[in-house]
Amino acid sequence: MKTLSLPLAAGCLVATLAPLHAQELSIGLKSEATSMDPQFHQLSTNIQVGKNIFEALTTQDAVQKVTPGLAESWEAIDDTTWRFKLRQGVKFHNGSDFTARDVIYSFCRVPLVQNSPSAYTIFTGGIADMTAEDDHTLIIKTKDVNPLLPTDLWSLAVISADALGAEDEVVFAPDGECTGMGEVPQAPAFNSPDIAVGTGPYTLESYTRGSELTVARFDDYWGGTPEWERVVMRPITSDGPRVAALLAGDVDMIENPPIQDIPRIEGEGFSVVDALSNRIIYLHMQQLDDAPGIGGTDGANPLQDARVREAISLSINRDAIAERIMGGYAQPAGELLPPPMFGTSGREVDPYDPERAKELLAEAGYPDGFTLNLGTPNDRYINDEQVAQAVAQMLARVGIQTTVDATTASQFFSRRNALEFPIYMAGWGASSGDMSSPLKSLVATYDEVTGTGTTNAGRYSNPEMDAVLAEAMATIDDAKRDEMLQQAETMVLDDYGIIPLHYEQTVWAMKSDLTYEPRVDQYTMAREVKKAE
Amino acid sequence: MSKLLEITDLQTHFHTRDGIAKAVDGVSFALDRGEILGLVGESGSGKSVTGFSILGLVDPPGRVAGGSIIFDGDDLVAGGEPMLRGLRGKRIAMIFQDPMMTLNPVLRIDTQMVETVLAHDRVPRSEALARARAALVQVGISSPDERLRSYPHQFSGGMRQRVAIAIALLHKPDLIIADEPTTALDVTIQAQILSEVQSLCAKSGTALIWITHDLAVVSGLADRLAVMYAGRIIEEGPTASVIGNPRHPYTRGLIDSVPKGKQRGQKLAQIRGMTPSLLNLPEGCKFAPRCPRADAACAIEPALERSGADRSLRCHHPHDEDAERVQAP
Amino acid sequence: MIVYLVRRLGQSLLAIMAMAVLVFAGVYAIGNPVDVLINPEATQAEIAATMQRLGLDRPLYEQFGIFVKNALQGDLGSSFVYGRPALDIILERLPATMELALVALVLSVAIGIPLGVWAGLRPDSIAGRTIMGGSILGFSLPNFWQGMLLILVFAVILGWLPAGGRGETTEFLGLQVSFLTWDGLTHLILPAINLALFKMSLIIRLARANTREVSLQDYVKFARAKGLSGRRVVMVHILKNIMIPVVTIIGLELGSMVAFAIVTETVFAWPGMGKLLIDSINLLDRPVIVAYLMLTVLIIVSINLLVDVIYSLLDPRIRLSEMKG
Repeated sequence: MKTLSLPLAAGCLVATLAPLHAQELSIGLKSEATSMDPQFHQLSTNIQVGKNIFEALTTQDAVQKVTPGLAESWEAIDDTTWRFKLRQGVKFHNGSDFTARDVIYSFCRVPLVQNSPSAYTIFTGGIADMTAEDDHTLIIKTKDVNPLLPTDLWSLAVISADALGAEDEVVFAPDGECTGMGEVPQAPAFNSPDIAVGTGPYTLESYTRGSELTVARFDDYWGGTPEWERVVMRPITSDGPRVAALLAGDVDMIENPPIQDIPRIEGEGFSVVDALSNRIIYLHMQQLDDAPGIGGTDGANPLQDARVREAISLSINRDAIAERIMGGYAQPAGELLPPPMFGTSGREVDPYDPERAKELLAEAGYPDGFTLNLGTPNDRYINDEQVAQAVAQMLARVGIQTTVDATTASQFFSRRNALEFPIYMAGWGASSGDMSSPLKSLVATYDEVTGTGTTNAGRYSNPEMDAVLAEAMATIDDAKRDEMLQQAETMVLDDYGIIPLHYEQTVWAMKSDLTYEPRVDQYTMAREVKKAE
Repeated sequence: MSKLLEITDLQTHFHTRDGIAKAVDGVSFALDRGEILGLVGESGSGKSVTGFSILGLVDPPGRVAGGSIIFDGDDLVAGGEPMLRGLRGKRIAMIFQDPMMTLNPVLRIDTQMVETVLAHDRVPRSEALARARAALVQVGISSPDERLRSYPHQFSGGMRQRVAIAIALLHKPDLIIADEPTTALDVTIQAQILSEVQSLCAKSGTALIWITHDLAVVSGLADRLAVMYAGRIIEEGPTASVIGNPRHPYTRGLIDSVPKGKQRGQKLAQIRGMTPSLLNLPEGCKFAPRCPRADAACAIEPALERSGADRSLRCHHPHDEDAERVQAP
Repeated sequence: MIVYLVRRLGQSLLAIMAMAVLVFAGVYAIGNPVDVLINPEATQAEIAATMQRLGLDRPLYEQFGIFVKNALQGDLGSSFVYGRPALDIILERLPATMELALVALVLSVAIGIPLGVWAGLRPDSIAGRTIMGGSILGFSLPNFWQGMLLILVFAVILGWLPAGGRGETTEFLGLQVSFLTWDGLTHLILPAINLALFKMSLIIRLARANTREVSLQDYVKFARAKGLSGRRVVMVHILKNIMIPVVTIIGLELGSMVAFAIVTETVFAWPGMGKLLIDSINLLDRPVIVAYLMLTVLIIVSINLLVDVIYSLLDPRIRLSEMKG
């Protein structure tokens, strides 16, 4: 054991830290990336880490607006054909030039990725053909009309065909039948910087599993010199220690500090930024005849009556929840995405009116209320269990005696998908940044063939809304689509098919000499962290 | 010739939660070089504590509270721990009752013997080992080399006690204090050990205090006897005369209660009553409640008085000094 | 001795198999991993395809059968989350946990035994009472809270030590270790103390109780009667006798320290196996959970076997009776 005296040692630590900070950024993340392969697992941590190294044809800005990325511009030539003009002069980390071939290779690889727990094929499955008119022009044909193609493309990272050993000519064929792929490296190979070659502002320097991930500046980045010489990303899953790491100076920035700690963090001179996110916290109600967990109704399902559903919405004091339980870091929601995102109508938040709620219940034939079991996860969304408890209390005040059934996320999802809850609380983040996402998954009729309503565990079904939604999804024209989505959403909300509670706000805390433009999609993008002016 | 050991009015008290127990309350006796003294008494009489007090090995909550112990000119009560440690094992050695528990079960015999040598003499380990070996031979243990490498649990009780004796003899001490050393052994082994100890002491001129409750054992061995009761010596004198003519009622009772071969079928003699609790001693003579000869005079504690040339007694009503005592048939 | 070892190994294998069965059944009962892992926007077709890919569409006994068949060839399955062999993922993190556990063990022994012996020799002194009072705090304060407190005091308030994570590592005997660098040591101290506190308290109390008991034994008195110095009496006679129960406890505790350093690893973001287990449980990554628990059983069983062997070395009475029997 070395015999350096403690003050001397502390002095050494401080001395070595000081000059590095100017060029190095360290971030404490809430969870760990499971793989460096950007096509392996749709996990938010993998995505936000991968975006520093890899890029896609399009980019989503801080409010999820689709903007040019590796594609300079694009247009829909017809309903199922698109032309993308690729950016010139872009280099990969290994020095090779970015061309259409790399894009084709990247798309071809997705179906060939093995063992994915959440595959990217949901984005590539709809592509019928892809050809290169020249090195920087790409024609993409989709099987069906997909107005969201540019949005989907954001999720598909472009990797270097050369680095992965593709042949000179790569020809696209759907469903994994491409030719010229060579021997396709699988996810574990991406732990090596030789394989994890992208066009992003940072290169993969080292990846110590469980410990930290380091990326280094890519001097030839097409978008200009990246801000930091090096970025270190460390997963610190436990909330308290993550905050402590920031306060102790171990990291420069953290994501998701617990709301209760924010005053302390600000008090210590750190800056806190927050933004409304695309995540809606909502209540979903069982519409089937034999709903479990309901009592005092002689076997009937009161939630099938729109008046009862409206009563539930009116009995909830969303402002109180946002203020007292979310510490002000939530915004009461009137619809499924915060305006002015694509497809939102600016609908008013339902008022808090318990008297009217009781009237409605009496009208529907339940003057004495009934009992209900409310399912919720207890470790998935911010203060989820506490919000559910508050909702239960509020429902009790209008006569609906509610027990809260809170379980860990994995249990909750399994039970929810097995239709065990008459009413449940959950959250939804619209990864596409537009209204079609929640509509399609949460309230569209459950249909295994068309793939709609996958998260519609209340089995709400509104065929008229389904029709409008289907038409909107086949409309390339943005303005028309926007209008149709608004219409669909209004139909659902007028019928109280789903009850929005609030939008989560995402919080980041960092040293006062840093800035970060907070993102609606809740991602922490190291490449967007800048030194304050 | 000055005495080897002179104890005057030794007080060893135990400070318990229920009061002070005076385990040794004014004990005085002296020992010549080479003399064997038998310290006799029932359990609770204070005989073992007397032995421990000499070497300063009384465990808390007990402590030597008064009196003096002069060993070859040095006052052991006033002397400090370093002085006592220098004497222990070297000039005054102790042998305990249960050799299984006095030898450390996880250490080898040679370790336990060599450390005794090295505690007092700076000699090379090989020489210490040689002395250990010689000591084992001296106490009659065969194949000493093998024994040295063994562990205590591999020996019989008698053999273990021989080892303990060997350890006691390593530094040729002037005095050995033996605390009931044969009580835990078989009768046949007892006799062997007794005779060996006797001859060893005679050969090396070592003085011996043999603490026991068993009169029979000590009567053939000791030069003099001292009988203890309730922390005091109540009779003392040459072994033959104390055994042959016990004058204190307690001593007489002790001797009479030893079963003799010819008493078949007859009721065994007993001393009625029980030894008193040290926390609850009666005023006056401590034996009075059980004494057949007690009367009002015994309400005052008798002092230890000389009786004749070489006997001492603590009694108001001792038996007469008869020449012959009628022994029960 | 050989017979004994073979018998113990047989028992261990049974324990491992039982563990595998329990975990399989247990994880199956909790929920469907795909529900947790997959993008909620995936279609039913994709969900079904994923389940088939991961082998989750087959009945439980069939899944178990496949697992056993592969396990016998050394393949404990691939993680659902990472897509790599579960055993590889765990073994990657094993050195970090072992390092932490061993350092914690050394700390708890090096501090615990001397304090415990001291408290046993002088039970009524101020020092003795303070030590015992402190030990009660050590095992009754929740581990998580102790850890947070350490971070708060030493990292946030005093700024002497880092708040978490592992420091620089260097290679040593083919493994990455961090105790050979100063940076590594500063990162190692707090989590090691946190992990050690509980065991340290146990050891203190155990050492004290045994020291009290042994001090009153005749052989200690006899040793003093021989004129041995106090130091020798304590260091040789007393210490060797209290080591047997202490070693037993240390052995048992080391196994649990390695297997369940979970709380410490989570609080200090230490990249070890324990944290992996928690994350895997949350994500229902069954292959990793099964592999982890089987490995844990193996480690604990091996350590216990080692303790038995050391036991027989320390106490000669045990060795002989073992051989004779």
